[in-house]
Amino acid sequence: MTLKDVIRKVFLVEIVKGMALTFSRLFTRPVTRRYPKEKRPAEPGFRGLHALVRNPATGDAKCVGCGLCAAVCPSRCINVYTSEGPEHQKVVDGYEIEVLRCVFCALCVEACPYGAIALTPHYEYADYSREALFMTKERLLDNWDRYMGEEGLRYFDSFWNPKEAHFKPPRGQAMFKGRIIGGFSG
Amino acid sequence: MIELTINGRKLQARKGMTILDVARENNIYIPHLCWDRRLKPYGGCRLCLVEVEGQRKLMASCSSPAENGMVVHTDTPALRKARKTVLELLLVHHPLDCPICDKAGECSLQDLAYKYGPSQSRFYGERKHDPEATSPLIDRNPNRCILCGRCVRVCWEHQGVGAINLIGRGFKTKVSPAFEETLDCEFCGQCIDACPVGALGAKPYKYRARAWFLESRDSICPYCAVGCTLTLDVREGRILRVRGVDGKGVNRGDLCGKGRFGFDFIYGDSRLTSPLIRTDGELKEVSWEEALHYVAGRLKAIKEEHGPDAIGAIGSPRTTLEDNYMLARFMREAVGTDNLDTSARLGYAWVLKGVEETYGIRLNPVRLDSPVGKDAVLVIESDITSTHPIFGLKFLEAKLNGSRLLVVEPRKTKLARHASAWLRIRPGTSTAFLNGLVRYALAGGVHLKKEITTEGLEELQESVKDYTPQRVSEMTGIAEDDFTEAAREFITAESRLLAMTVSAAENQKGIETVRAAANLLMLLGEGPEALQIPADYSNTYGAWLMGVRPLGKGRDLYGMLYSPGAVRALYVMGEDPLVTMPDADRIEEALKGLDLLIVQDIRMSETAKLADVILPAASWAEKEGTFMNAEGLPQPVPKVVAATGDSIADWMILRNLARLMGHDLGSMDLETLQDEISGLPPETGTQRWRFAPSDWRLKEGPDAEYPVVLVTGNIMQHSGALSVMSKSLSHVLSDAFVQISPEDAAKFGVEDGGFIRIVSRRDSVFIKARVSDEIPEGMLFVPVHFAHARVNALTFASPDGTAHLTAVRLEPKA
Ligand code: SF4
Ligand code: SF4
Ligand code: SF4
Ligand code: SF4
Ligand code: SF4
Ligand code: FES
Repeated sequence: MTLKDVIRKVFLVEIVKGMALTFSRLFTRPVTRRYPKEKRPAEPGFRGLHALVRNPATGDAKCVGCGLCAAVCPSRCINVYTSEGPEHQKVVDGYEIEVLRCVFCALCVEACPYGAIALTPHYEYADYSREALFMTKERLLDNWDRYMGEEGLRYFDSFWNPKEAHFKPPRGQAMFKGRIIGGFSG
Repeated sequence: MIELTINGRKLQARKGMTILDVARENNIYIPHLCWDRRLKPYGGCRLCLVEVEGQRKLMASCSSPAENGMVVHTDTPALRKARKTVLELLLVHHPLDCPICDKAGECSLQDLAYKYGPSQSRFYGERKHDPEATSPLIDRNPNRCILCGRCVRVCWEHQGVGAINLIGRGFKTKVSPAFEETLDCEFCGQCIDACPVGALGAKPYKYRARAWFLESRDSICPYCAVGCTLTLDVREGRILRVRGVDGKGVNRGDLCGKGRFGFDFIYGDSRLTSPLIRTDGELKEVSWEEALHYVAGRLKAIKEEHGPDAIGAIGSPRTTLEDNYMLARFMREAVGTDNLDTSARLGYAWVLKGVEETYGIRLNPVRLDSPVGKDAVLVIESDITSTHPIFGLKFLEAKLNGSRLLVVEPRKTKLARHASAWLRIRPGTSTAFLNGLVRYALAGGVHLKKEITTEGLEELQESVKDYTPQRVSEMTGIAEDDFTEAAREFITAESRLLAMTVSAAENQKGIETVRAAANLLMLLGEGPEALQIPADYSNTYGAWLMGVRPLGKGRDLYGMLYSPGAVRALYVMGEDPLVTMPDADRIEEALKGLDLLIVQDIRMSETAKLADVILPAASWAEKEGTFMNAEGLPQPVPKVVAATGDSIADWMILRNLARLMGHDLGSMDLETLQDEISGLPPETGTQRWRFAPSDWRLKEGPDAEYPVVLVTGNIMQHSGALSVMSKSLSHVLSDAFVQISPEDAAKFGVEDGGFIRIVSRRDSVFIKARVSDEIPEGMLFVPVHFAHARVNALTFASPDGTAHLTAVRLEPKA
């Protein structure tokens, strides 16, 4: 042990240094947020509660029931039910997401050729029952109205809407290019 | 032997193989769209291009024969480019509506575009056909068609129908029935399986699911005795569609409309969901416990009072081996009687009896591919393409491969249309025809050239001496020349086959026909394998083997159903005698006279409506079991969906009931049951040929009062009384009708679509008439499937097994 070390030990230099830092922090603003009093807005691309995009033209979901979202979902929590309508069109009878099983990978959003499924910025959906977190088509559409609406479209657009330039598939790779009914923002 | 090299591998090929055949045999992938194993090469899509060294052009491998020393490459940059171009051209006017196309996920075009191609074409064209919406069962969306022609060729080359064709030109070309009418065909749906894209689909499946939502299970068709393997596509416990998978099963992927569309009978409205007991004339829902205690109590009481032989049972040709085996044990052990039978008594039993009397063997299973490769194939008054559609296709295949197909048939059936020679015979006279052949053969001395048995030969010679060509011509209505020509052809052929069906639904053939056929074949030195008579339904053959028939002195079906008062209690499992068996009035009388009628079925059948107790049984696909097809091949039938309501498997009901009757049949689960069944001694026997003379006479020939003969039978889209439960099949046809010739229609003042009354010696029915040139003068044809028409009230049972052709008269609606 050198003399220097002895002196440090005797005069508790390390502790004084530490206390100085503690003392200085007493006068700064806190960095933690006082949730739930204080809420933080979601950043673009945040993956919150699911919603089915409402097509402003028809008032119904944009979803055509292609089931690609269900196919790609790694936790298999999406189910799509379709049938033949009176005009021989395809009708989406049911669209279900079991939110508790979702891993929020957003692959469904990427897979959808119509931009019909979204993850909203809404994250406050804790509840007491499993049923409350089982989303039906109606509830998902309702989510859209509630958590996306005008504001949401912009939010959705700015992150999820494929930007031609950097979302283009590699040349020569086949991909589906359906006519996007009404575009992403209607 | 041909030797060639593909992608550096030295391979061997047989003569007649194409490059694609060789590649497929050796697991070398070559893409293809228009090729189909069953069809002649077409060479239309150009996707199967390959490079052959020394050839400047790329060659279509599906239509280029493999040659010795060929050096072939299947995957080179040039080929990939060519394939890409082909795909690009296909996509020019393809709608690419994959998100709503039911084929997505299993579409060849999608897969190939993904593998080779551009996602979109540089060129653009649009086709504007309206999807066809009015035809039943088969959905056509011409915009998605790539004009590969597979559907058209399958329909014509393989099915022998020719209902659709490519019509129009250029962008306007589409697959359609003639004159763009609605489709009016067999509705086999083979075109659907053939279509590589989403241009053809099954309507009941339309927009119901995506390919990746489905789970596939293989099962065996519940309808006819061919025993085709069906691939059931199930989503969340519900069967959504049935496909044939190329190469699978005895059918090798082919299916008829019954198998493909008829599966939804298990979702029929008439399904039973809980046991019912009749109290004060009303059927009331009760628990299983109550129902079984009631049945056991009543059966015991009847047994004590009148003895076990006052109780009888009818098994089912549609339930599994296990079910029938359990019924046989239940009746023999728990009840103690031999009164036991199935509907086979009215048809297939006579075949087996006839075969035993002649060839001396007790069983004669068919071989489904037996017609192929025979020089002469003779079909006797049987519409095999309707009753056993996939077996029927083999006759067309035989014809295509050069066999002479001789069809003796009054109706213009599919086989008659495709025949090398169609002899339009008077209904019910085929025994006379066959006896004529026997006489002709004897006169020609064929029997002297072959070493055959002489047992009964003299009697045979004596019995056929009157069947001269001239007499046969008078009896059968076949011109003498046609008869002798056909006789010569059949008798002088190198190899030959004689096929027919004898079933409860048909009334124009009987044991005498089987005998006459066997006599003829034996005379020509042919063994029993030349006589192909398939059992009727999915498990007719199996139920017979399980001993659901009197083995000793018990009463058979005639003794139970047609002798009112003979038994006091009847246990009917999975059978609807009131609809499927002749002489409905007599049966109804017998059933109404019973003290106790127990019906165990999947649905509220006509017979069930008279029952005292109804027990709901789980149907096909709702329970595990085994079916035995007409080849005698046992095939497992898995449980795929949950049972309807409270229904349980037939064998379980019987096992439980036996326990309540104080007779434990052993603690049996399915496995021990199956072990027991496989431990049954096999039917063995050696052939011992002897001729069994067979005279021909009609029990009820046409006369002045009843001048027309009524022939009953199955039609292609239906099978017994079961298929009418299927909504899909009923969509094609759900109304009873009688077919009448234009001549008779004119004579009796009958209009197409008008109602007529048919009167026989027993009863009369009121039914819609369809005037059809498929029917000859003096004959009516009526399908047996529709309970509401009650056509089986006209016919009669024939306890000696001879044909029970019925004479009737017509009364147009006044
Ligand atoms: S991928 Fe989009 S259009 Fe398809 S089912 Fe899912 S949400 Fe609907
Ligand atoms: S046929 Fe195939 S490529 Fe065409 S729309 Fe249907 S799935 Fe897509
Ligand atoms: S269903 Fe059968 S008969 Fe009808 S068009 Fe298709 S292949 Fe031809
Ligand atoms: S309907 Fe299908 S099978 Fe028929 S020609 Fe078109 S693509 Fe081929
Ligand atoms: S009815 Fe017969 S031929 Fe048709 S699919 Fe079923 S087993 Fe095969
Ligand atoms: S598969 Fe050979 S040309 Fe179509």
